[in-house]
Amino acid sequence: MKQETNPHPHELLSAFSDQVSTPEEAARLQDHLKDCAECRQLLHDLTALATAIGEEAVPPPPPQLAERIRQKIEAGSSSRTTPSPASFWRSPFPPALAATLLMATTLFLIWRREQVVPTRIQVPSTPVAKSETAPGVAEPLAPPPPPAEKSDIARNEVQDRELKSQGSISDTTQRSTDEEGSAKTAADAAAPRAFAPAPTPARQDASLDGHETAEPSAAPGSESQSRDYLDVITASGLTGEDYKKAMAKKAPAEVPKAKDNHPSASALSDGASPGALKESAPVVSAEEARSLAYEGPGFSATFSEDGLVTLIARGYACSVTVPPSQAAPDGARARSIDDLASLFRTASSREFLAAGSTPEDAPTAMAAPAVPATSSLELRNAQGDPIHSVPFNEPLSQESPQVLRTLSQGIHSLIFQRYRKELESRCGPLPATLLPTP
Amino acid sequence: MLKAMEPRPVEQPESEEELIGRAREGDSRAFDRLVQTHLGAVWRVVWRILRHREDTEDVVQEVFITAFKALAGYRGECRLSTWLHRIAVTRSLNHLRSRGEVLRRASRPLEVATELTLAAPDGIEGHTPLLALEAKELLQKLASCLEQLPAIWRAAVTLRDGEEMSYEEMADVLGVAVGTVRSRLARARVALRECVRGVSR
Repeated sequence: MKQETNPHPHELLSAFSDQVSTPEEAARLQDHLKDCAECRQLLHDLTALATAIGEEAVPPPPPQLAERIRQKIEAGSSSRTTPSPASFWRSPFPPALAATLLMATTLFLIWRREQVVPTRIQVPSTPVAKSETAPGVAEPLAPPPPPAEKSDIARNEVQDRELKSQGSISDTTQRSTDEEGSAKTAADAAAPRAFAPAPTPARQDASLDGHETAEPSAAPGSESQSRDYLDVITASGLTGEDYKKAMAKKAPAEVPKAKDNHPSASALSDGASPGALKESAPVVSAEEARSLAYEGPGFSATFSEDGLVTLIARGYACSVTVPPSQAAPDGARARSIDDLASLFRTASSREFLAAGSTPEDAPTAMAAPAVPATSSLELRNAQGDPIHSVPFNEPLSQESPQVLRTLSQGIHSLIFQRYRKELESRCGPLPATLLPTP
Repeated sequence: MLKAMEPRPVEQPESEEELIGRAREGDSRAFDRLVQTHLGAVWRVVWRILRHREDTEDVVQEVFITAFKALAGYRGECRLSTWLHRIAVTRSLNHLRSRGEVLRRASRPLEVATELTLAAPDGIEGHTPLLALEAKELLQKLASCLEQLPAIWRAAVTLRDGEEMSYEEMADVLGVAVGTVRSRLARARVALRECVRGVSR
């Protein structure tokens, strides 16, 4: 997925130091190590660091912590003796009740159907209706004038019965399918409640805020239910398999949207040059972008939407929080980058999304591309996983897409001018080798 | 008196599954025993990510309370320790992502563990720049660099080098693919090494 932007196989070295590389990878690495003193040094250092991290002393938990947890849990448990509405809805009782009610209603309707039709069949004996059919044969065509709706219902029911007798409809199958569907819905509705988090302080992560307090709807629809499920799981701090399942449920609803907006499916397939694309508002598929990572020949930098700027260079690593930027009007793409807001607007623009490849398209880290790129720009989601990656070569030429030139210049300007003071006041002066020559 | 002389029922050790089953039904004592079993590991992971004692206390409490309430949803598809680590990592990262916390941490001095030890790893040449440093100095620099590392990378390093998890377990805890774990670890370690070497110059 990731393009190796330097000639040294860092990922392979790291995996090798953990003894998880395949024999093939290990052989390739050994070949490389024969001629690369720098990587031999790096391998030694990685092993030393791993040991040091493992042996770093961690202060022990306070002795009363377990007791405090117990008290809090018991306080929560005792308050459940008079269940609050929230705890009631989280219990398995509501779905069970819903399923019971549904079943009772279904049985009642079936019973009612059985009752209603014969009643109507008896009606033709009234003098109003003259039946031409033989006595005793069911004929629902001349009942006393019932309300129009009931008449329609009765007619439909009769038609259903006729079709059923012909084998066109399996009434019980249909109903049992409906019941299963409803029961499944009820069970699904219960699932997120099982994961429902404790009320947490309002200072939760901005990206997760709003989900934390969201109670799943009582009668979830398919898409909104999936979203509720996802949101509750995310907010409860559960990831991994649960998260993947929720994502799998969420994905189908978003596929058409993503396809519509995906650059490779639109702009690039038309043969349009990325540089020739018109300026446009940020597209929907970039909404989950939370950070932008730049890796270049001299340094790498990460810009977080929440104001965290990280600079890593040879001999220098620093993270600072910068003041919030002024929000720009919706849809306006910055012509120049002078703060994080303009940086993210540009990185979320259609031009940038059209300028690269998705992580799936990109070559694997060790599969050397035909022309190794010196640099890359990567949009990442809240988990830090890449959602869009653009490898490119620096220095950029006049033929390079405008958006890449804007982003590259903007990132250098942010690091060396706009946020230099913050970086240097926290971590000391930037390395001289890093600074652009005047 | 007689009652005091009656033999006390021997307390049978319960398996984790039994304790989970009882805790799921709301038995807080059973959950208390699970807390005692896993508190140390959860504490270590959260502290290594947050590197702040008070914050760690808050988040660890949150982790266990969340786990108690969500226990009904735990189906045993992974080990309980993995499940707890998953909650712990997510909660810790959420804690760091909250804007107020970012600002607060940016303005406070670095917290370094008070007792640091280092033994030179076997088979490593002693003349590398890192090991040429005094052990204590190296560890202080390491602590400083870990603090500066992006939290998501710090979490990866913590789980692998601190808790010695396999890549597969890490993928489960972090909710990402094994390939992502691998690349994230590599980036984190190289950045950390560059930082330590840089500071040492």
